[in-house]
Amino acid sequence: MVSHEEFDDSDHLEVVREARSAAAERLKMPGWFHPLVGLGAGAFTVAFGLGGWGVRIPAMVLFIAGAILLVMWRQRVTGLAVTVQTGGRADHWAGVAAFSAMIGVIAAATVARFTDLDGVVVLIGLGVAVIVTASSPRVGQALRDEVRDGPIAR
Amino acid sequence: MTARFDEIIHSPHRLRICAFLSGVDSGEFAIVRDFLEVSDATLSKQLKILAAAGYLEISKPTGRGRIRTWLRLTQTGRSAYQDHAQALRHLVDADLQNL
Repeated sequence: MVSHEEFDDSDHLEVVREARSAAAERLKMPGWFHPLVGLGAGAFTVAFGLGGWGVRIPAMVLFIAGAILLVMWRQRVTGLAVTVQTGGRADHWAGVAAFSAMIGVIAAATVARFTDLDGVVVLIGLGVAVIVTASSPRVGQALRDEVRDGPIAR
Repeated sequence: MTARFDEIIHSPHRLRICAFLSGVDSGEFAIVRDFLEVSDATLSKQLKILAAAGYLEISKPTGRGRIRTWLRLTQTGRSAYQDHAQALRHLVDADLQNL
């Protein structure tokens, strides 16, 4: 860390970089966080595909409540509140995860509606779980990059 | 973004606080204190100066569990910090050119 004594302008810029790096590092999630998000999305996909509305609505409520709880938990653990910047890389990866989940849910519901292939619905759910699990750390990394390398830290 | 040196932000502690909070929406008091490695009283003093300048909002949301204090740069604070960082960059660039 830069000493408080003999603090010149380049030191001040170094302080800016250090501070933003420190904030970014705090946003690192434990390894289990991403599979949990993926499993949640996959389970929701399967429940939505195989269940009737009596299952779908509670599944939706559970999924939304789970997502809110995860965000609250992250905020509590890191002590930081952050939102994904529109148009950034984190936004891109979050979009990939959300779009894959949405397509998966529609596909699962369609397969279940017109066929008896329950195994295919489960496979679609697994696919969603894998894509979301793979995208989630990329969202996290991109978010940390945005915090660390924002226009001020350059 | 314009380059404008800001005496309030220029203090090392306050610059660290602003830089730390500039990348996030808000941060908890204890996290900022630990990052700065200062006492509660020292941080509070710096926060009061930033808040008095309209650069910082301090909130204590009530709810279950212990009350946590959250800090957030205001729009004015973010702009002042960005202008200050830009001014620093210009000064450093000018120093390098004069070498």
